[in-house]
Amino acid sequence: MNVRAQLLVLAAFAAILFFIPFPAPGLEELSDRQLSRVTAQSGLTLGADQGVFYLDAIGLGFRDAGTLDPWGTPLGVDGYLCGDLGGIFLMDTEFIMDIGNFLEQDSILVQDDAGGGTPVLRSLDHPLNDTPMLFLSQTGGSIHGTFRVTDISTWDHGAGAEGVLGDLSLSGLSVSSARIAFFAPTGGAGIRVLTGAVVTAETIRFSTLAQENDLLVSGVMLGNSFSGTPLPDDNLGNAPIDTSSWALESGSFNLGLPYSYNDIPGVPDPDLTALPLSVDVAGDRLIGQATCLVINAPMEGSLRIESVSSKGFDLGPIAIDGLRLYKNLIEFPGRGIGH
Amino acid sequence: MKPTQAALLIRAGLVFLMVFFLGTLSSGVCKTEIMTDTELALVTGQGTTNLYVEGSTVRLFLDIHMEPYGTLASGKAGYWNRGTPDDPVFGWDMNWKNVVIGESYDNPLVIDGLVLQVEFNHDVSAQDKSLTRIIIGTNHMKGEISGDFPSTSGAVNPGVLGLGGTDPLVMIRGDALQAHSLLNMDGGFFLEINLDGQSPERGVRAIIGYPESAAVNMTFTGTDWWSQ
Repeated sequence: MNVRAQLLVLAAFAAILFFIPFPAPGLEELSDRQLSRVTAQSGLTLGADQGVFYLDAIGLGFRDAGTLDPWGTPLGVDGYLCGDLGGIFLMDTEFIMDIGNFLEQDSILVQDDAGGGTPVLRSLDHPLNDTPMLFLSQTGGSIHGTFRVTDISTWDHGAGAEGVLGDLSLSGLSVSSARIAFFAPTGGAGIRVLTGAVVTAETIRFSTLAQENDLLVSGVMLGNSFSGTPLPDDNLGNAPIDTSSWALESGSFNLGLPYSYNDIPGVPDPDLTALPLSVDVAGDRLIGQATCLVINAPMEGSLRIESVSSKGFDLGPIAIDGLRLYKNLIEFPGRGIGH
Repeated sequence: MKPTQAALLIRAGLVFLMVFFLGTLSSGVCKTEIMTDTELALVTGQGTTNLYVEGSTVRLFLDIHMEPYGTLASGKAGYWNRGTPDDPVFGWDMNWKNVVIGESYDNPLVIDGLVLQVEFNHDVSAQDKSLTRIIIGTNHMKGEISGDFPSTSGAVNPGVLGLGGTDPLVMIRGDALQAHSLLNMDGGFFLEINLDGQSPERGVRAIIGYPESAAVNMTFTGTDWWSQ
């Protein structure tokens, strides 16, 4: 075959190759939902969606330290309290969990400063210089469920009293807008947490054998702030408060304050910008050398309860609005004071 | 066969090590020592938590140390009719506003020990019992609480307000705290929810500046409950 013939064969082969349909990679726009799941170059992202969990007669007990053996046999003079936990727990929501990985390393999804509006990515510019090691967020919907602690019983070894106190039930529980981020403190041990959620419950009831709804707490709402008819401020009312207008105004109840607070009265350090929940173990307290759990749990939010009633006596609502604890140090065990 | 010099040295070394090891055993002398108060306070048998059931009462004590500092825009509880059905008088048993908890970030309120007491109308072992009172608070609160106090029910130790005397300031939806705006705490602080609709004591009350014994025994109809 001469050179010309060779070129012709080569051209024909190239033409055939050209017409073979190869799959061609192309750029496509990701949906918001897909984007929200994009991971960085390391770490792990997990998603969870829809689920039902049942709790059935899980024994719960509380006992005095040192007065019972591990099996509940009384050893001392005081007592114990126990009951069975049951319930149903429906996850009608979507959870995204990022482990060792975060899209915006110095930011976290929080509500804006005013406590309202759409969640925004906001810089945490000072206190947590580390990437969260775990970030769990609820992208919509709610977790709802019902819990019961039945046959709450007491035993007192000294007085010999034993009795079934009653049943405690929590129904219509709903958790939404939940998120939690775990960090390591800069250069230290322990753990730092920013978390928040909107929690509502239709009723919390305590019933004894003889008295259904011995205590009935209804319309419980935990969030950042609430709207509705302004609460009366005087003691001259002639009608109960209409709580039907109460609604969540904005945001979630937060443990750990994610905002910039340069205006804390009495705090000279202008660098103090965010106050996470912290959990540490301390062994160098002034009182003895006992090891204790040290938790600082700054918090903010509001609690509304529409009604507290018992056997026909209605004490009306409870409204705790605009609570903001910049500092809430807790040591457990405590210092042996106040018995 | 006679052992070599090296083998003798090794044997001597082993004997020395054995004697040294035995010598270190049982070298301590044990004796009983009196524990200090601090050490005694740390004995766990005393209880970081304590549950006591007596008659119609269940009391839970939690040994916990707290130091809160912060603000509360508004805290209101107990809006019910203290009048008659024909002549209703609704109002807040408790209405505190613009409250600052603690003096400053570095001088927070200090709380040691939490008490939760639940009371029934009959013995806890009785079937026909029902709830009458819930009391929650602490025997040891130290520091400042400031704010506006338009309505308070309960009793306040005059010392908390910097006043003389021993008689408590007793209020039912009263505004006597309004003139002071500062509670200087060094004692107990309890909130009581009385659920007994037939009792003249029903409603929400605060017992401020008195220990638990006073809070538990308080009545507005009796006398000298605060000294019990």
